[in-house]
Amino acid sequence: MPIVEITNLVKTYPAPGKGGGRNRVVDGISFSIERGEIFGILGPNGAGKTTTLEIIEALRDMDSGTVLLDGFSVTKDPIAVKQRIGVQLQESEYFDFLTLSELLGLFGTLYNRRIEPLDILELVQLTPKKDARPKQLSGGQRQRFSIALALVNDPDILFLDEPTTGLDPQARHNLWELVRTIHARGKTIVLTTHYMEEAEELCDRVAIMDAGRIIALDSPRKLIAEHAPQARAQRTSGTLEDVFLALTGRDLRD
Amino acid sequence: MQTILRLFITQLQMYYRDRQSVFLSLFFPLILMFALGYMVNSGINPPAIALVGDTTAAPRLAEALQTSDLISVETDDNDTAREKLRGGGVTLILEMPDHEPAPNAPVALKALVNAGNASGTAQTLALLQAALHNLEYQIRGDAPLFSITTEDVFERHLRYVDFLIPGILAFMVMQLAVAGSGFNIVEYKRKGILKRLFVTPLKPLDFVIALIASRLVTILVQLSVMLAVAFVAFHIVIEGSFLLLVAFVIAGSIMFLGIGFSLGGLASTQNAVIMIGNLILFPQTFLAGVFFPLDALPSWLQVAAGLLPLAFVSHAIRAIANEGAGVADLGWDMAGIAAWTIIGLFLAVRFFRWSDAGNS
Repeated sequence: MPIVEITNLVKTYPAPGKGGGRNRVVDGISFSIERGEIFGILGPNGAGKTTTLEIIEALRDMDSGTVLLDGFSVTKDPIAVKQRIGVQLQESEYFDFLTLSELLGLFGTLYNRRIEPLDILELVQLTPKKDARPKQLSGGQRQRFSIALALVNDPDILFLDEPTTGLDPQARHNLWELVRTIHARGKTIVLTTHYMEEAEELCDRVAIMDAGRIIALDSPRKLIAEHAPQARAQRTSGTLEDVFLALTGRDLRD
Repeated sequence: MQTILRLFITQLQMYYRDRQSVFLSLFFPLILMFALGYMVNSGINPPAIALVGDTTAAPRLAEALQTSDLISVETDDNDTAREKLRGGGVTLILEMPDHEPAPNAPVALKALVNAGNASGTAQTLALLQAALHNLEYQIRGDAPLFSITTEDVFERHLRYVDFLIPGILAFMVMQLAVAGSGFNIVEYKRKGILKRLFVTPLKPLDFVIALIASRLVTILVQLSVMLAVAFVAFHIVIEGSFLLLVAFVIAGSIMFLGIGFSLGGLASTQNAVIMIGNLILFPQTFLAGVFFPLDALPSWLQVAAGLLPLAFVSHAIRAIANEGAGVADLGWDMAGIAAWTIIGLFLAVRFFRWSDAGNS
């Protein structure tokens, strides 16, 4: 049984300006996410990726359709859904004046769990920062901390919304490693991204969204075979990213 | 329950670590109280006048004025006296006559005043007249035809500061509660903190309870400091039950926290919440009888002003502190506070959003 099943999901927002029209931000999409896969949602800005994600996370209501997570309806049983998921939001700040360990402890309590902050911090390589405050972290560290917070309830499925946007190549590659490590612990991962290379690198399957619809859904390899079969001008060399990494190394800079 | 407790403790922890705001939140009420208290106390001093000219020519007049307890008198030369009149050090300059007045001949005295200080001048002139009348009776061996003795119906001495401090207390309850809930909620919303919290199974009601409880604790600490200073520096007296007063402070805080939460739900930016906050707080400061009694207002406005949330709190606290009112006397205020609490909490729940419902 898939861990997420979405059927005919529709979400509208009032159109800007007067007239009472509504924009269909998510326009009747259906798909499922299999247990244990890394599932990518791609698409240009405004395609409806974040809205779709937030509906699955029981954060927003929908206009119509059904979304089942591990068999629980996100509209009828949002608490059961929230217990089972870990969420890293696109951008969020945290309470000032609390340290990383304290924040992890606090969020553990919100799930009625007693957690060991240091174990989670070790997983995301932030042990030396346990007494730091989120504001004192670099971009990459902050994203890793967001993921750490999303893991406090030991969720079955982890949602990452543009986890590598704005990161330098070192931090991005490091985050990919982290995603693989978490995936290897048996968790399903759903992520959105603008970087095709990232999707190709990480995802078992990707859905491409545009204007509220899913226009393609398959494994990256099959999508390439179907939509871009002709080989690009053969590169005999690496990419500029390889140059950058060769010159600056793969060590994290934060 | 465990969640509420943990959030409650965390909120207090964060508050305590925010040293700057701890300092300001204790500092501001103290400044306010001392500024107003000083203004009030300096108003009680008798007005000062300066005598110029030859004080030896009319020794009885000079002596009588100098020993009068209605006005305080200093002797100066012309230039210094004028300087003091300009600077407000004295409100009137009296030129002494150059000879001792004959027992029954009228004496013309000349007073120099600063017309810009109309009320001070009028008050000083009246007191000077009274002092001169006393002297006249002495000289003529006469007695005044009428005499007035005043008696306080409550048989105690009620000063303006006694009226003022319960008002400031009520005002601070409003200020601290609205700032502690409304302003914070908007900040949490804008930073995405609320959204992140509601990714977890946290129930909005638990969150609101924890926040109200922690704000209540900080408000009570701040007000205790303020009250302690009021006791020590201004010797205020609370006629009624202190516990009842505390109960009204708590009820008033919960009411204003609820109102603050609905503001925070309504406004989506920090600027908006400050504007809406001022729109609600500012008129109340002037219309709810905090700093002066409402008698001066037209009666329809008095009725309307009496229904403001702050009016119930300030009236109840003042009635307890000044008149020793008990629970039985405060039914109307309790009903008013209860009504506004229900309205506030209803609107708070109605408007509660974890984000500024964007389009993304």
